[in-house]
Amino acid sequence: MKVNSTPRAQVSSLLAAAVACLGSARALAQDIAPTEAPATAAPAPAPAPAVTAPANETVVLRGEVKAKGSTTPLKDAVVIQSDNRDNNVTTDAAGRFEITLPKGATKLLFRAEGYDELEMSVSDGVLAESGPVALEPAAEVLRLGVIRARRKVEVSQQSLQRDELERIPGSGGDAVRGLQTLPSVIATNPGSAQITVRGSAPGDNRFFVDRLEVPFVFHLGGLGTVVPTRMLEGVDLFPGGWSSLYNDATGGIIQLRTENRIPERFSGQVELGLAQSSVYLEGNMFGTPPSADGGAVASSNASAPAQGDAEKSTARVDDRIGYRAGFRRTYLEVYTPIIKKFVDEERLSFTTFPQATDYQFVLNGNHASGTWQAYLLGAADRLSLAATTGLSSSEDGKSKFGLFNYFETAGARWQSNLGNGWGLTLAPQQRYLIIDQEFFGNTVDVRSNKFALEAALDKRFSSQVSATVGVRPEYERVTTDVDAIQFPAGGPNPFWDPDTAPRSKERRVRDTVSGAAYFDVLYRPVQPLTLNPGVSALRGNWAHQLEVDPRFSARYALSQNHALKAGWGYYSQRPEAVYDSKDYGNPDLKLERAIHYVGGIESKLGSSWETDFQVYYKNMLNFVGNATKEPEKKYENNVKGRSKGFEALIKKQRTGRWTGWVSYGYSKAERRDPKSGTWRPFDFDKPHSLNVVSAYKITGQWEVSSKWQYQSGSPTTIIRGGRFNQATGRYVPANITGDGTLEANDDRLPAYFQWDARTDYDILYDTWKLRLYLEVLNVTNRANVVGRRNSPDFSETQDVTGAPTIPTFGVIASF
Amino acid sequence: MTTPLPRRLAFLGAFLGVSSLLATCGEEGSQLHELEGVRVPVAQFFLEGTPADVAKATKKAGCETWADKKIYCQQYPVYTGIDARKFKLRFVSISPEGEVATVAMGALKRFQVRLGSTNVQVNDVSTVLEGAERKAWGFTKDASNSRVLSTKGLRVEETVFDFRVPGLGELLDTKNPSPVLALDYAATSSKGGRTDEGFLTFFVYPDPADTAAWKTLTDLAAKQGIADDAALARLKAAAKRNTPPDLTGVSPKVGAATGKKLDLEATLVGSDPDADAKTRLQWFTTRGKLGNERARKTSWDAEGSGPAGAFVVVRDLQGGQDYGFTTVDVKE
Repeated sequence: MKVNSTPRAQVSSLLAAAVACLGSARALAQDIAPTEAPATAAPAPAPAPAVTAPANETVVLRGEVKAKGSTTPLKDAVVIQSDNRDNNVTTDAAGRFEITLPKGATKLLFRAEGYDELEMSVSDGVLAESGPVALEPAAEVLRLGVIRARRKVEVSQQSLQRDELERIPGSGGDAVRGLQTLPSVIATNPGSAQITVRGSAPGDNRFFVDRLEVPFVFHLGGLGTVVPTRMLEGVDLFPGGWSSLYNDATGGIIQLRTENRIPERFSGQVELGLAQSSVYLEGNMFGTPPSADGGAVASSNASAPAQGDAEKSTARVDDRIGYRAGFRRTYLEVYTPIIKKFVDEERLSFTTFPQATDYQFVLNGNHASGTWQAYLLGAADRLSLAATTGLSSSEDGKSKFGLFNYFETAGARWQSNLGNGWGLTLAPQQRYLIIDQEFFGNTVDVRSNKFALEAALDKRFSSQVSATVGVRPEYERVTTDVDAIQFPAGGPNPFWDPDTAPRSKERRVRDTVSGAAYFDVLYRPVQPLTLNPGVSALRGNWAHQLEVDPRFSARYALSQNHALKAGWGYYSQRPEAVYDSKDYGNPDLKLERAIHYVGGIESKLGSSWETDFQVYYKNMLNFVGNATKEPEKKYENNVKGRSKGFEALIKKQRTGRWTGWVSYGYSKAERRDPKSGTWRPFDFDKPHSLNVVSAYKITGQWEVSSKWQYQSGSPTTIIRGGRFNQATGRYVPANITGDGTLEANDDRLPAYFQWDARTDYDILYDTWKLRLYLEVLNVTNRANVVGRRNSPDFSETQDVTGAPTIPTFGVIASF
Repeated sequence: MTTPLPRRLAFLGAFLGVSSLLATCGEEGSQLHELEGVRVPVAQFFLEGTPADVAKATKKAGCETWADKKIYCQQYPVYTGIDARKFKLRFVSISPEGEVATVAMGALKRFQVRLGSTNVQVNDVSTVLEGAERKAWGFTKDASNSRVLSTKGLRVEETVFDFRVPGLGELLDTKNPSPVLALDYAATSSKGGRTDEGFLTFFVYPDPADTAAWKTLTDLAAKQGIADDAALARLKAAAKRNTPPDLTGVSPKVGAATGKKLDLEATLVGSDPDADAKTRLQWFTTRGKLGNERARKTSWDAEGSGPAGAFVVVRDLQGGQDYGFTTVDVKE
């Protein structure tokens, strides 16, 4: 607690310090004139308003200020004697205050950033209401350092924070789905959380939870992200030209960031939705809070000792252990009776309705020279059904499909400041994965154990030069039980007849060692210029799969608010495992490789506006496709690709009543057919994409938000009739290519436009709050064409439209 | 799939599941069974004559039932060294009444099985797609039998087209075994020029008993550098003579409730007479909606009243086909 009881200069400086701490001079005590104020007693803990023995016509009032609807104490709230505003104090980290008042004082004024002002009566030094003083959230947010802007560390980077992600209309609060409002980030299918970035395939992206790699990021292939947004501090997207710290990807890097601070108190959240519910808890245990003994704190709430720029401290370490735990589960199965009314069970029957479950448990804390985190994450998906496909020989004419996907990963990140500019990060990871699949009566059961250890050493040589070197070796044992037919080269195609394909039933066990290494340098030869050369090496599943990728980026600060930036580099990634498998694919395949070129300018306009304009070109060199030179090898590095584009992002941070952003992306993505040599639009090519996202706070408890999304239509192929395959009894498209693929992409669906809206209303109780939200998808009920469906004989084509107007609602209780 | 776990395998599996869920809602739509134009649901190779005409063929159970169709037995796969004169190629078209169908034979493509592939699929053209077109393979139209099926007011016409294939002997040369042949055809109805195009893929192997021909094939494999006995074993397995399915009954049963709700059922003499083949069904109806046009037994909402017909074809996945037709007079 800061005490404003000293002479004018001291009051002034303390106030200034307090306000500066909040990041703005728009002072909470803006009408407080520094003057001599009555002395107050020394601070002392006081959980509830109380009065000490009056002396010389004054009383000392102690109390606590907190946010209404939670138990969160408000630090740096200002408590002011209404009729003598010179007499004021600020609350400490626990929200406690102690103010000396004349015995006749009648009112106290409470102010805190982000909250409505509250005036409360005082009588004989006692507040009119007992218990902590609860302030309601304000409609206008000053954003005084509450949301800490992350420094852009990559030349091409976009970040969204949790409070933004949670309320983007149409996203259902999903973290990765929220990224689809950024330029050139496109959903693979309307409604799917899966994304494509700058003309790359979805599988060319790589996802991290901090430094942990998760084997699959989406439930059921795109239903939602396996890590709930509540667990995250935010998401970073590196769509291209990223530094050598990240490898094994050519599309984009998506970094799901968990919070790295120790929760100050026990709190939680329970969400009840129509299709799923979740629970989240956080708190701390063991140890003592740093403020308990008044000692300084070392490394508390610290982020990584980046580039070893922190020096060792002898101050007491915050020795508490923070924890965060989450669990989610869908329950579509409860709607079984309803769904059955709409499903023709002669054609489609569910054995197991889609189920998605995930859990998270994260610990974090400090040690003598840095911070640590420990993780346990997992997710499971189940689905089984039987449906008519025309390829069944069963009596009911239906084919069976089923899947059970599960992963559990445990890991840690230990960051240490070794002193003298050295820093060390260790990140071991273990991962267990189950993939059980049944399709057309075949089963593939995979069990995988993977162990990885990332070790990175930072050195800050001077204020101008720092460097990072790291390695990430990986070992994996995969056991595969197969009782299945062999897929034809390139996967199933219309000629494919699963009942006549050769079947194998066997167990395969394989051990592999792969890994990556990197070296990254930050060099500031002159103040406005930052150079970031680096090199990354990737070793794939086979010894010959080794590439060394040089990368370079530069940032030049034109002024404090404007920076030019550019990046270039090679990027390698491992082919999909089915491609380079010795038993199934072609083990001679090389790593897939791409070259990125990125340039742009980013600006800060005023205190709340940001802009980012970028151009890019991506050259994909040797991606894997169906073999054309040696067909018996099934796959070859014979696909080339290219994409280029322009991106613009104009964003207003959450200040005042509204926040929002406008993003536009122009892109042209193509692939070269290895057989004909012709270039064609890539499957996910969408030349124009425009998003307008905005949120407005009507009151401190009520917010409305909106998202407008326009996209060019997806490429599609004109089907020119069908031909009857007498062997299978099914028609195939007449213009199918020789290898059974239909990738001409000689047409395009109509443009896609959708308006989604959402409103959130908080009902504040004393120590908890209830958030009610209503989300309306496709407000205008526009019939967006999301695909084309052909009649079974391909004689007719019919547009498939997306979802109509769909309202969803939910309830979130938090304390 | 034994390499380090693909980061996209899970996605692929999930995608297959979800997309199949979505696709099945419309992929096998109800339109296909509605007989609104000409269809060629049946294509058969068979040997004509008596068992004596087929020197190397062993008489199989079920072949006798074809006597009324003046054929001896369906042949699948086609064996090398057989007298091509005994072969007939039969297409069966069905079309609405009054639409007389004609069939035009298209190009014949010949493919070579890629013995070198570790995944050679001997009954699947997807691995044998490279081939040269042959233009000189002649088809001699042997006979066409067009008849209106069943009773008054029924709008369906069945036409049987038989072709002799004198040039087939060239392709059945034992010195050039293991080709895969694909034949294009197009059936056109007289009304509105509606067509139904299709292709028939068939395999030509030596008779499993023809050791000389199989030695030729083995030598061919050796020339391709193949030491994979398993691949040859699969070829021999595929060369095993197939006994086609025998459809012995097609029956509609009128439901009790409305008189229009029917149960359709196809009866086979064993669904797997060879004990190595499975069967698939496909229904066509003159009107109404089917619950599942691929099921052995399905519901049929024969909307309206009067005679209605259902045509069913059964395939055994090894080239054997049979078909049947049934009618029912739906009362109001």
